[in-house]
Amino acid sequence: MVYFKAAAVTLLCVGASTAWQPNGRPLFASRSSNALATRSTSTPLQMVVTDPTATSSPMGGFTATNAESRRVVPENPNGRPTMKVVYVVLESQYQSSMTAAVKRINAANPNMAVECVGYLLEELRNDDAYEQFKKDVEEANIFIGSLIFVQELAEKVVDVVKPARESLDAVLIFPSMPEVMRLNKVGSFTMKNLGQSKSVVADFMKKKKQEDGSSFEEGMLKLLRTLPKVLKFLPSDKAADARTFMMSFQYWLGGSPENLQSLLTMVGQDYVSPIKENMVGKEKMVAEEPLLLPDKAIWHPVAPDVVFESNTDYMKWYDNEFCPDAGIDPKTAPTIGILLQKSHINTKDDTHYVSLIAELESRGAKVVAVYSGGLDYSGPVAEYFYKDGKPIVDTVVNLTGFALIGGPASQDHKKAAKVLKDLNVPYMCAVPLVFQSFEEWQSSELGLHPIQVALQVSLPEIDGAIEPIIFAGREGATGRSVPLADRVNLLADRSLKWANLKNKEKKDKKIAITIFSFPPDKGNVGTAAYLDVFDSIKAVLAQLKSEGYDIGDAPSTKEEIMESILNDPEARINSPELNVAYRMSTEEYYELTPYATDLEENWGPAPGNLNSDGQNLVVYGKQFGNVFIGVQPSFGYEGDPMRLLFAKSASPHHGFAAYYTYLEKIFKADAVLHFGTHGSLEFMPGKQVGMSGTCYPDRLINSLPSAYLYAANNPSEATIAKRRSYSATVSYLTPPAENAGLYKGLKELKELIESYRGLRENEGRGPAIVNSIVSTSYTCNLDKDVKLPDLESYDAANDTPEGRDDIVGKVYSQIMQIESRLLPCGLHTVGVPPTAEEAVATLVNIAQLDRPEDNIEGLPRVIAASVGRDINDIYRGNNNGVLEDVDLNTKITEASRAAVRALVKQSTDSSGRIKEVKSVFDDLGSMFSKMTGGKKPYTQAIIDAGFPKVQEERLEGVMKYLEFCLKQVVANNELGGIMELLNGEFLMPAPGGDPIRNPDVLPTGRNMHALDPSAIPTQAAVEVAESVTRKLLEKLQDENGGKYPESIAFTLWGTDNIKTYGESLAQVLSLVGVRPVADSLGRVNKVELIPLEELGRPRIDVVVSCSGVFRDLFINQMNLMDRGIKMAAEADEPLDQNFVRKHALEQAEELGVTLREAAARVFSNSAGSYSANVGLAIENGGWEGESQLQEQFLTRKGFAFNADKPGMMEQQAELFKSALKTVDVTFQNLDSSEISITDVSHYYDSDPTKVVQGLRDDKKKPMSLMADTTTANAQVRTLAETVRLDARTKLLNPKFYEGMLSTGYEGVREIQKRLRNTMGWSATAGEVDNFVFEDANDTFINDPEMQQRLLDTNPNAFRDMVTTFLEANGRGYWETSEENIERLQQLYADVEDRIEGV
Amino acid sequence: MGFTPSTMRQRRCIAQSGNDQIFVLSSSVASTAATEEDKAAAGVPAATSEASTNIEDADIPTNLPSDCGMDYIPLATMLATGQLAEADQFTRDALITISGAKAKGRDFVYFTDVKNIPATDLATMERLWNKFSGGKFGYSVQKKKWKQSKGDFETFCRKIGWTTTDGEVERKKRWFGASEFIYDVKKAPEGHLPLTSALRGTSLIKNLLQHPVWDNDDWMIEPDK
Repeated sequence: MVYFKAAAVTLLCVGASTAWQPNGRPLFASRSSNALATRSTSTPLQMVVTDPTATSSPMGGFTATNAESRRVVPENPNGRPTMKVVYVVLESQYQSSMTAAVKRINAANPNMAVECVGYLLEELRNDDAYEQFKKDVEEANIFIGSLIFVQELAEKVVDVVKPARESLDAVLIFPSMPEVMRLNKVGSFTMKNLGQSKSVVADFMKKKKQEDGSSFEEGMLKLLRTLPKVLKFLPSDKAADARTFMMSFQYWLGGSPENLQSLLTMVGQDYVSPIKENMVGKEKMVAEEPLLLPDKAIWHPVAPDVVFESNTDYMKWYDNEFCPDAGIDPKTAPTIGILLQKSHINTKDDTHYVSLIAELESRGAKVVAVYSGGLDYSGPVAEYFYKDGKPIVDTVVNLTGFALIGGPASQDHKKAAKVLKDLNVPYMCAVPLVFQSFEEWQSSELGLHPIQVALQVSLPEIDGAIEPIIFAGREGATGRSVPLADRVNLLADRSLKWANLKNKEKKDKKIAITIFSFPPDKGNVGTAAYLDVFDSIKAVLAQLKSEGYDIGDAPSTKEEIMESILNDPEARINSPELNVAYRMSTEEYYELTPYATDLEENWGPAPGNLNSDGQNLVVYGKQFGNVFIGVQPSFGYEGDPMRLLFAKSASPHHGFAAYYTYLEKIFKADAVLHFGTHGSLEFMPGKQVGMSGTCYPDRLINSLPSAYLYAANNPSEATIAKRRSYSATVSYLTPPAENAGLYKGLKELKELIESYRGLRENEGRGPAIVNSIVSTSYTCNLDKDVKLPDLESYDAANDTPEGRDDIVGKVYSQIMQIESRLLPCGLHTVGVPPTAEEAVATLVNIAQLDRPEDNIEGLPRVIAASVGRDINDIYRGNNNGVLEDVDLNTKITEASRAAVRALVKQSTDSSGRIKEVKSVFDDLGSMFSKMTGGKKPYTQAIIDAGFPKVQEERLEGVMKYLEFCLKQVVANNELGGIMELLNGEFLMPAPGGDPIRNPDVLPTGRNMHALDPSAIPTQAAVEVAESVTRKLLEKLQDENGGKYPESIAFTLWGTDNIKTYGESLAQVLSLVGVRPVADSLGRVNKVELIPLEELGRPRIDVVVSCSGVFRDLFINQMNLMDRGIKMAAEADEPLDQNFVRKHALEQAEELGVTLREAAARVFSNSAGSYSANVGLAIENGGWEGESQLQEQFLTRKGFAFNADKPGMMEQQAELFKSALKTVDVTFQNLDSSEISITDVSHYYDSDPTKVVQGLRDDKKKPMSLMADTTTANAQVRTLAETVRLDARTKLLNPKFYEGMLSTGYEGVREIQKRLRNTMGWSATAGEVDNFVFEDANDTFINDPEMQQRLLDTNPNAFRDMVTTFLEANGRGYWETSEENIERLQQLYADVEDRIEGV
Repeated sequence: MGFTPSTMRQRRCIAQSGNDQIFVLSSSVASTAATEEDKAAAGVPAATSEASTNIEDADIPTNLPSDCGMDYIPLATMLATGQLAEADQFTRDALITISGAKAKGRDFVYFTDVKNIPATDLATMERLWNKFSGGKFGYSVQKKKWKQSKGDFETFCRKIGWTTTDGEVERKKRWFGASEFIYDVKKAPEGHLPLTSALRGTSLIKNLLQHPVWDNDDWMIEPDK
């Protein structure tokens, strides 16, 4: 006890943090004082990365390491009692220290020997390793765990350790999930009651947490520091045990072999019986007091005093001694701030840190490397990266890989972003490989392990981190971290380039603006979703100029800018008509492009025939001063069916590579601005996340800092750009949405219905109007959507009044669906916020939703309540065509619009814009409303719209919220955001998604991120999902005589799940009958089976087809679904109540696999590949027949996810087919109005309807349904209904196409895109009505004036329209008159001549 | 095996030096470190090269100048007797000493130390490596390869055989455990030895190869007897 008391006294007197003596001889700095300690690091000359473990992959490409390499067995116990220690850690840096500590005890301690084995948390997934772990724990005396924060693995640990807890002599758990912490046991000291506890310590921790809101981990560290105070209040016997625990924690944090030796000796002597007995009469080994470094400090590999506790001390040495010696000019050198983990410093496992510091310093940069022992780096950042209140760093690189605050435990992203914004420099978060060996990562197509992606890529992104570059790996034999030389070099280059953006004079900075031609086709140069590209470039150029950048003689109008690049707007890409900025000889190309020869396998020797004049590689674009506007080349293989099918082995072509070589090495760009959503760079072949030096996005972008403008509603693809092409995104608004409105026959119908409302009692005129309504409905093809009476035989005069109301109600409901649908109008220009009028439609939709989490009632609900109705009842009546409810619903909608308009009007200036939002709730606003009769203007508007009893107080919640949203909508930082990046500043992070569901998406102009992947599905999403599946099953039962479908094919999208917080994946779980369960930190990491009795219906089988982006973002959710489905398949239930089991049993029999294997239902592309490429094939017409498209779908999407091997996607074409065979229904979700099913090619690209038809034994076409959750009144429609609705609100709607045409060149292309996507639905699902093509042809081709406008504005896009019509006819999707076809053929010839200049 | 008496004498000398901790021989470490892992931790190549036979005393140069009192006889002997692994280790250990890193209490060379390495010493070691490898090994050979690789570390490693492939995965050769490096003059590619650690970044080897001593061929000149 002697040593222990002494140590405790020391602790009590000086406190933990002062055990370190900054002025004395550093206790830990005994580099040469202890031969054993130094021996482990005395290796002068280790070679680069090595890992002797086998590369075989029992875990699907991951964690092929095994704990046996960490087992130490005493060689000569010599009769000493041996205690067995088992430890589990998240990362391996403790391994070499533990091993050394144990060996030292075995070599020198006369009283005890130690057998020790360690496990990396991730290894417990492996069944064999887990069994061994169980065995080891059963025999163990001491168990140690640290940083166990992965729910499913934490459970595994608890499952093993809990039963053994009694027999274990001590259990030491350092920061981990609460249920693991509860295992702690040191004599009488426990944390059993953690969370609900009466224990003094736990109480204290809880209180600490409440007091300062810091995380659990910080609480523990604080506790440690405050230990003396706490111990005073503990009963003395308990105090000893608590002290032991605290000492252990100190030793553990110390981490060196000496400290761990002390830890093991101390616990062994005092708590392990055989050793205790053996010690009787002997003197205890006196363990040294913990040798500790300060909690946080500045560290440098060659500093004489190991660490510096103030940056004054550091700079004194660094600037005066180190820099001159290293040839760095301390006055002019850029400074990189680096964040390190203390455990690596403690354990001297630091070579990966040293290597980055060396690479930076050898490039002439200064470094301030800061470590912290806690998980909250905000303190160290504030303390060490500032001097006299000013930041001293130009870029920060976080090498821990974790979120800035909270690490793997619980994060505080808001505070992190604020801390980083205050510092205002680029913030990169690089990732060390933890769960994989270097070779495993290198050979994996997925790249970084999914758990690490969740913890070390997704979470840091929410702080605003950019560039998840893998920089270090693990050496298998010793567990030491070793740098990856080429990655560390890249990291050094990139961080310095960002620093350069901060330091270089603006007038000298070179900026490359890259525009796209995607899909790479004629007439598509300068394309980007929802963006008026050239108008936006104009705005950016003006901003650059005003900030002092040199833009030379850049023209000041959109047309001139366009002209200068396209030369001729009719030009097509690859034709010499685009402006040539540079011709690169093949010699120069090979000289400057290190990977050029690797492209020859696919493209032959340079120059090839893409972006080539036959001799040189050609870069298209135009330079103005220091700004270059260039056209990104195309993928290059769009028209090649074989490549579309097997694009996995593809590479960019020489022209593509030459473009980026030009930017980096010839133009010497300081940064590149990728202009709009989206180009091809980030979709180039390579790993999914965690690029290696052979991945093409990495090779192409190389050292160039990249800013990427991305539509705010597309966070999923933006995330791909961030991760794969190292781009910081700047979000931009999608165009203002408007209600689709009505036109032509639909407008007539509305008028007829209105007159019917007045005259329905009139026996003469009422029936006549109904007859007109019926016939007009037929003209508008509404008979497809509404059950109409027979046109020939029906006469309303013979009908009952109820019958007439019924018909009118149904038609009314249908046209109101069309009228109120939102559509984005025109294209957005960067930096231009919506006008007041444009803001109204968005706000009306925001107002529709109830937001119970914020205690806000939707506007329709409040209005409906004023007439004593529940809004959901009204919706139900409306959907069933009850005239009275349709009418009321319409009135409520109109009243809502009036109210919002009244609110917005308050802040609208004379130009129709909103400069400043004037609150109606402040004094002035209240005074104003008093003057106008005591009511707020919006209340008055609702009263005027026919709801006199509406309660003003009840409106306040939603109206205040709308006012806030209005501020967000018009606050626009897009140009500001671009400039922040180009000026080397920190750009604030923001979620991406649908501004209507989540107004936090606004304001735009921020760095977009996806969700915390373990946060979804949320409880709210689960509830919505349940109501959607109920509606879906009701609809299906209705149509099938009360029978449930057996299997439903799902398509899941990344964006859709981000926007809805996982509604659609929750639908999958709901159909199967499992529910997600959140862990104690609120993360969704497990599922449980809902008992059949509770479910009240059979479990429906599913086939889930995930988009490549979904796979990238939500691999943990694929895991959840797979586990849920397998649970269902393995549940021993009657087959008529469990279709999952039924089908899986059949498949297992048929394919000769196990039931569990047969229950593979979660499919996607192979790692690193995206989409079925069906869209690409259709976009350029290069496909033979539908069977080719179906083959493409099956080949490319048939990779199964397997929760038992979470590290890989396995090609399982047979299982995929056999699962699809049983599908009765195909199903997709439509989550937002601005990306509907004909807006993008993705929806039909992944639609399996015809594929299923081909596979089914009865060749019956499955029903095809879509859930539309874009409005508060969610709907499930058939695919055909949805296509019609989309066509009526967009392609055929004058409001839409006129809006598009007003933006000119790009607008024609947008119209063509809808037409082509509509045809896509014919090809994959056969769900497009003939009238859609017919009406489109009437609108765009048969109208001579329209035809001429299209031709003049964008001849290439117009030619594509003509081609699409001809193709639709040729492929049998559109039957029409000979006359129409002849006209199209003639037009084709004319336009061709015109383009060719004949 | 039949060592000549002179070889035996030299080996004794080496062992004594080992005790002086100027450098560490693998055999001396192996006697205290029991496991592969220890060796790996100590950065000791498990493979040792076979000593060749019949080396005459006369073959071993004795005029080995140093500006910092370093004794290169052991290196000369190892190279003369074909103990390439040991010579390799000696060379790296020597750099720590002659760069002054060791005096500063450090056990690795930081790139900033390279300028402190006396040209004389580098030249001495280089001549030994050159002589006993028939011009195949040495920093000057590596410098040529470096130039051919346009300063790209990955290409450089491929050129001098520091890289290998497992299936489709290219990786650096393993040092820990059973060393994969080739301690054989005939089989190794040009510039393969001596090894320089890139564990703390590639700046060390870059700086070594940019040492002024390689700016011309003066290092080749044998010192006067």
